[in-house]
Amino acid sequence: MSNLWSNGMKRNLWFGIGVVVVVALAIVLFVTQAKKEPGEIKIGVIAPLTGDASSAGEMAKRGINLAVEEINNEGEIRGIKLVVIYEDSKGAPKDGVSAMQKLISQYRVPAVIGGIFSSVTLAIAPISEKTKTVLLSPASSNPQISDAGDYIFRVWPSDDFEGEIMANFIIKKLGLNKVAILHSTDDYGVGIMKVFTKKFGEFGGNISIVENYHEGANDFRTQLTKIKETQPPAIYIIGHYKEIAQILKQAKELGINSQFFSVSAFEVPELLELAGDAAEGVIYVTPMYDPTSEEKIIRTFVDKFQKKYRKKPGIVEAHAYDAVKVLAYAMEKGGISGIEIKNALYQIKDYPGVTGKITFDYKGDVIKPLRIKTVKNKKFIEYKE
Amino acid sequence: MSHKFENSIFLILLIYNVLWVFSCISPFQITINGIIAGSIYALIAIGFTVIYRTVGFFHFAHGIVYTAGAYLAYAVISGWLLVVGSQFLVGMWVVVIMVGIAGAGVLGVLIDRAVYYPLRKQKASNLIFLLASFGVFIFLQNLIQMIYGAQILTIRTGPVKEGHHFLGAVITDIQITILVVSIILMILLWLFIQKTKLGKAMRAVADDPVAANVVGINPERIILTSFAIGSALAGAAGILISFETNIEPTMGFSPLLKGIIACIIGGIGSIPGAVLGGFFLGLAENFGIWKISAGWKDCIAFVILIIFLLLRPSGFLGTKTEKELL
Repeated sequence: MSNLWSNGMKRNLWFGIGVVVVVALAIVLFVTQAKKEPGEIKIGVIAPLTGDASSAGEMAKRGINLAVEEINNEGEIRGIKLVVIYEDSKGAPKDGVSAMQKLISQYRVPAVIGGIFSSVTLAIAPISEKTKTVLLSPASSNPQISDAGDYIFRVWPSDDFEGEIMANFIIKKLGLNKVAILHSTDDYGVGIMKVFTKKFGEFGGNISIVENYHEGANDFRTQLTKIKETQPPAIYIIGHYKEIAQILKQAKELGINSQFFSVSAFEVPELLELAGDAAEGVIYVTPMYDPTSEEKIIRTFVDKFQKKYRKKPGIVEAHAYDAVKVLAYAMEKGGISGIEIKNALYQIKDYPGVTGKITFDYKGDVIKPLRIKTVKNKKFIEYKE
Repeated sequence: MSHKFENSIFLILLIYNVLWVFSCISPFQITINGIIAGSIYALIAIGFTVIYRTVGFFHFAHGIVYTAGAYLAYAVISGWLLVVGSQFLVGMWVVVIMVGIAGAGVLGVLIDRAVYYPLRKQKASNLIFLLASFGVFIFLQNLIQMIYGAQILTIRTGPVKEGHHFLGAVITDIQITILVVSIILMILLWLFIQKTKLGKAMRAVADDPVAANVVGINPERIILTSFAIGSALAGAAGILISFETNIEPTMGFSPLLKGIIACIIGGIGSIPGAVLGGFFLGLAENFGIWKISAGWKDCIAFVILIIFLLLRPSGFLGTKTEKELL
């Protein structure tokens, strides 16, 4: 008996010592890490790095890395090195939330660039608001993000503008008053679909059919058959480029000759490869970013990008790049805490980004002009009548 | 037994009559879409069944063999364009299909040798096999992503043409190829299973592995053959779909699920059942979204699965009860 007891005692003692050592180690690690912090400013990035949507994440990553490299080469922020910590959202809201929690609790970042998809941004917005962490989305466009909170910003224009401009263009400029809609079922697709439907109705137009698809689908023939039955002169495709490319090909194979319209996510160089000649003549709305522009700031960006990646920067890359640059600018002007960055962002006026002059309104939405473009001879060009 | 058989025939006739009514009241295009989708599901389901019959567990890595088939086709075509240089000859498509199918078969055998064989030696339970097959799926998917990147690739680079008009519907060359090649493969498989000695041995092992062993059939050889044939069929489905759509590393999971649903609907372990299940699922999905919104497409498949699991777990042609299934 006594033997057993003393054994138990011994075990308890060792266990106690073990706990003390682990805790001490953790404290030491924590303190040394905290001491290191002034050497660098950490910001987080939440993007889909694996899974179905990882191609969008890779695009953003290229833009972000280029911007960070530039900032650190050109005198850093207040003389402190900028470091980016990537966390994977897999394009899914729940993974985005855990990525955000990790960035805040483990790395204590004052600002996060992300998410790419509207659904992810909407899911992480409440956390960013509660922890006073600035959230700057490079590519989310859902109208709900405008009201998501004080700390939520974006450099991509809201769909409210896009849907309205497209509705206006189709009915008033082209005189087509019957449109079929094919949209993705995520927040992006539904967001634009709602704005467009409302505005198009107000302008006196008639929506012949609204069809949808899940992201990742690759057979759209049945939806297109249903659309074909209503014989619309115009079809508005809302979604992301890989599905859009597939839809355009299958529509052409089915012999649909309507005029196609699409959204700002359409302008991705890969789309032209995927869709081939089926993309010819599609009209879409896009933010002011033109990689072929002769403006100096855009030329330097495109040249640097091509030197680093041997690729042309697409629209996502450019917005991700601008997001980092404008954030760094705000940090330089305001300070490096969440509140200081937020206040500085609201004061920014006409910051010269590669995607146009950046100013934020009181909701954190960027105010940027949009324009209408089309595809001709496998090139994205300005639309002219 | 015969009572059950009559029941099955009755059920099949009933369901296919319902489908026929649908095809009469909807545009013929929808029937075509359903048949094409169904032939891909059927190919995956048959391959899955061939493997399931001999090894008795759910080989989820089947889905990644499908993906690998598509990437093999991509690799062969880029190689062909580099070496031969000329654009898209008929000979190239034949080479692509042959190499892709063979490569997928080899991949299936490799998966079995590298992962399942050591587990069999240790007499692992079916749960372990199931988890291992998931592991293989994820490992190979990430491997493909490392080699080719996450971006979307496409084999189709030529101009997009309007398809052939056929009874009011439009069908493209690629779709005809998909249909013809999958039917040829199904017939070849049927001949193999029914006529050859190896095929008969496979049936024997599926019926009763112990008795088959007693009469001198080497089970390892049969397992290897099943993996080779089953994987070749999955690879073929992947190649055919790569002619038609874009390819990406994550493309394999959804068709795998549909293939498994087709297996269960058709009666797990039955090859004709897998064919019937595949076509039924393809048609049901497309008829379904003709009336309701297409966002429900996957939902339709799973609702059908649940109905079958509740009311008729043995499917169209299965002879096993639900207890034996698990």
